[in-house]
Amino acid sequence: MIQRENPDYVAGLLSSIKPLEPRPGLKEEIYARIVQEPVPAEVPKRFLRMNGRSVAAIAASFAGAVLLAGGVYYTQHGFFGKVGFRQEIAGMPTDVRGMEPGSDSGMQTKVPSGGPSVAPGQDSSKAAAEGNRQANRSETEGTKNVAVSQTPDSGGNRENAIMSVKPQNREDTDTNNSGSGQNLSPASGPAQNGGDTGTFAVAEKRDDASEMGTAVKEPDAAQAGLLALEKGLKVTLRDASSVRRQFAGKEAVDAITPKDVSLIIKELFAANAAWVRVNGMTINSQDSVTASGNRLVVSGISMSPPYVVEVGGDPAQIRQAIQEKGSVIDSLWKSSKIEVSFEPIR
Amino acid sequence: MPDLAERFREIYTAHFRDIYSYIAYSVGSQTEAEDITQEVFLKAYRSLASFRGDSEVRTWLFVIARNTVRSHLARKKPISGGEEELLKIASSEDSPEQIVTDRERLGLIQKALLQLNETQRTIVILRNIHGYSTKETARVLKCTETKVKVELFRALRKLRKILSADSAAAVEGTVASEEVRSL
Repeated sequence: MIQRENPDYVAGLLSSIKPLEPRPGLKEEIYARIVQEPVPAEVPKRFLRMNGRSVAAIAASFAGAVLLAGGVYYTQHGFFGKVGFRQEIAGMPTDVRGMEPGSDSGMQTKVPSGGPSVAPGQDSSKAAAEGNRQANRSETEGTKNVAVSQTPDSGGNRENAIMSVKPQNREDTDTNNSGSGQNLSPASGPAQNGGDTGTFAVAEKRDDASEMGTAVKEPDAAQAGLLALEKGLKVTLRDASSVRRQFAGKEAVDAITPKDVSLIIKELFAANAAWVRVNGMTINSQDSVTASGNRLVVSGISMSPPYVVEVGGDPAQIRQAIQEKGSVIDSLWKSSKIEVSFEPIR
Repeated sequence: MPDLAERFREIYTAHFRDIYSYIAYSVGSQTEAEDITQEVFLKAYRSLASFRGDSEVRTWLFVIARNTVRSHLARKKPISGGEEELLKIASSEDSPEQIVTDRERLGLIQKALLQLNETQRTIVILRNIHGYSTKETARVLKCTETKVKVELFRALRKLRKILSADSAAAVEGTVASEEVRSL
């Protein structure tokens, strides 16, 4: 009799049921039919597997990560070769840039004694070009040569030996002066020399050098490369966060513009910046800084926020200058338009 | 490939009965169960070389069997009642009274099982007849353990309902037959 009211009846009934037994001989019959089939060949695994995952999938993930990293690098630095070349060109002094291939652009740059020395405020590229012409003209006239020496001078100032300018025809008595080679200070260079990126100034012994008739030396490519290693300040300019903008009652479209950046760059040059680099690209005061839509275009290279502006010079001094009340950065920050972060370059 | 043939023989010997039983309860016909069982093991034999061992062999075989049963049921609708065929399969070692009782139970269960949907039927067969764990059943069905529990609850509720209705009909049938005898 079925116990209709018993709720456990079904479970009990099911548990009493055993797996069905096949009829006798069925197992052998089926097995005999199956083994008549040709033995299946070992199928090679399509993909190697590592910890249960396909190696192909792992490789694809790795390739994706590399592409992603490459994309991030490209957005920040651009193409390797292109930007590297531009950085090299931009980092060189104007006289070296103006030289044609095959001209004397090595470590030893000859400048005639009577050649044009770069005076403060003078366009160094014009002076250098003129100096080159004169050098070609009067190279055989026994002029004084000024060389950038890689060896420590006899004055014993070994620390600054690489950056020293040593007149080749100096009198022996002059070597008694301590640090007879002129120590070049990149930090103070462009500010006193028209703001050109590669322009050096003689920090010490300027008067001695001018008395001796030694021209103030423009740096060459190697020196320009060393500029990048000097200390400075890294200024990162970002759009202000939406929260801050909302708090200030700003619209979302009110973000940092290329015009703001160009104003900041001008202000940096005005604040005696030794060199300025925007998103890894070194620029000088003559470079064109324009806007294309919402993107900043520096000498034909398009850039987008965040703008990382690296400035050569004393970090504290630069920071004080650009944070001064009424400066471009200060006014932009106060209007909740940008967010600025500072990081010293060592 | 003697290794492969030997391996298949071991698998076949170990799991033939369970696979056959599952198929027989699922399709409700002895003849169809035999054909499907052969088809399942043939598939397993052909694909044994590519079996990676990610799951247990038993789970793998049940997955093949379930897919084969589903495709068979999809081709053939409605399911034919194979009660009488399956009743012949009862063990002959028991006493005649026990055999009759088992056949009655088996007939009731099989009839009720065929009224469940395929998923619920598979869950009831695996969990309540073959003694699979919830986890193992979930692997065969490729679903979560929660779904197995929920579906089992619903299946048992449905079975209870079906069996209650059957019992009422059985009682009525018994009374009617006694009345006929008394005439």
